[in-house]
Amino acid sequence: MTGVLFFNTLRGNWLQTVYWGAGLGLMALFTAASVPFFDSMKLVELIQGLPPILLAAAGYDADLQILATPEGLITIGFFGELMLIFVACPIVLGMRISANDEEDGVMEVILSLPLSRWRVIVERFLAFCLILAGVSALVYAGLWLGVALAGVELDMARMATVVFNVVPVLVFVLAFTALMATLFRRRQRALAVTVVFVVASFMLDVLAGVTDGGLSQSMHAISFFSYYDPAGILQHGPDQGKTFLTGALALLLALGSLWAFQRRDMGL
Amino acid sequence: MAVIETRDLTKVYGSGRHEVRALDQLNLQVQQGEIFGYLGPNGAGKTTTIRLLLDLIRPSAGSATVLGMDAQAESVALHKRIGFLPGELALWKGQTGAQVLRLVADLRGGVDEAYLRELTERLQLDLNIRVRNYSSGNRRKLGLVLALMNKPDLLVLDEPTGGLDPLMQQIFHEIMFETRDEGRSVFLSSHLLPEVQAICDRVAILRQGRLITVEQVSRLTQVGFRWVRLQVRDLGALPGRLEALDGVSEVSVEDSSLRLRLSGDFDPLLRALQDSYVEELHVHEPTLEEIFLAYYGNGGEA
Repeated sequence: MTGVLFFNTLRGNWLQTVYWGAGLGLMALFTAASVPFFDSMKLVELIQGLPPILLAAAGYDADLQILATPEGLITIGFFGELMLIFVACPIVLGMRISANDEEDGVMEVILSLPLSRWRVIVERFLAFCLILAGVSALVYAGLWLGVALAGVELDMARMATVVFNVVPVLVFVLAFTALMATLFRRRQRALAVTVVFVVASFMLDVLAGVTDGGLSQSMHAISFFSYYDPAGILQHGPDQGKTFLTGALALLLALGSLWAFQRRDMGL
Repeated sequence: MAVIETRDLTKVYGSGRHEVRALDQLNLQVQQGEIFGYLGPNGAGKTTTIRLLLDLIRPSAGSATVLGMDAQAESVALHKRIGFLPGELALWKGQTGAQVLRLVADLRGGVDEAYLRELTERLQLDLNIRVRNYSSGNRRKLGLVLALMNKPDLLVLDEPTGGLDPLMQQIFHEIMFETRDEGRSVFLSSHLLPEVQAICDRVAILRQGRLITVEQVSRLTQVGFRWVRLQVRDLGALPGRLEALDGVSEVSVEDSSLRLRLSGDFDPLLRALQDSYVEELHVHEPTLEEIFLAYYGNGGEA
């Protein structure tokens, strides 16, 4: 029956969604609640004195003056690191689309039921997309609570844009993990390739921050980390082009995982 | 009407030096309303056949029709009418038996709840336990309920009674007979000859991916033989006398016990023993491999 796997996936993962959301939400809350205790101008001066590679690694490649605002402080303290921590979530979830069940032998039972292979991938993928959005909502809730506790004046609509713009990139990582799981069959192998991809993307993003010209642009374009630019969103609003490109790539990868799962032998 | 029909069904794993021909040009027909045994030693290709029939793996050549539908192209419609129990059953370990049944029932689009209750009661299955805490026998019972819950037209069972106690095996046999009496069919893979003998109408024997033969079970039993071990107080000339009996062969003496191969009835052997003091008498069913050799000689050819 349509939707059964979707709702079963939501039911089976709600607790972990809460854990992820609570963890990241607490980080956001702590950062927001700490804002009144910082001298923003001194912090900007301190950050400006850091070597470029450290700035790039921390995700500060925008105009640093924007950071001398409460929104900017939160961007420094939280959003700069958010992607690096949050990216583990879609990898864990992506392995649950097919790899875990296939390796455990449960997929044999699932696919002996009147259920097409594409439905397994699609329903679970959509459920995990919703879970990623749910975790992001909890992050925003943590941020809102922190702001309320600290009594800081903050543009919460803009903060919502910064928070929820992480979702397309996370969905991209989810789709990449799903594709690797359907291509490589073995859970460990798929996980290893995905982690290497994430680490390599991060390294490229860092290196792009310390190089100039065309090489920097190319490295930025390759690394999916550059597709989430919280400081850029804070300054200029969301980049529709990047969001569309990330979404299109995620869709392409998800379709690739459907294709791979549809045509190959199961559980070998 | 054939519920399963395969035509030159072949499955090859790997390529080049690593190529393994798991199933080689299988041509098989299973009729409606029969319990069909699929026998063979481990690695013969039994599970590969089942996976091909269920579209879990794709054939290298040939095709299969199940319940009149193409096993690959119409797999979703087909699975509505099939119940399957895998040889190594894996389920969601963190869920209770009841939750697993609910999920599978929902994925099937609903099942007859009264029949589901009847099955769990007959198999004495406690549904409030998490799968990870089930014993292997109880996990098997849960698998049987999952396979039977939709009253399928065709049951595909891979080593169904592994881990079940004798009482449960008996109940399982009863359910299989009821299934057959209702005109439904069972395709049962096993390497246990007594189980197949107990419930199957016909048997296919598979070896190294090739179908050796398809026989009525009664015929398989007729050409069968047994190993007999005797503990006799004074052997004397007994081994020679027994060797001369019809149906007795391969007589050997180990310490004070005597081992022989007996084909046909017991009566000639028992009469020949009437002057001897028999302390112990053991009868062993031959292994499947021994039956293969008895049927087809060492070459394994029909």
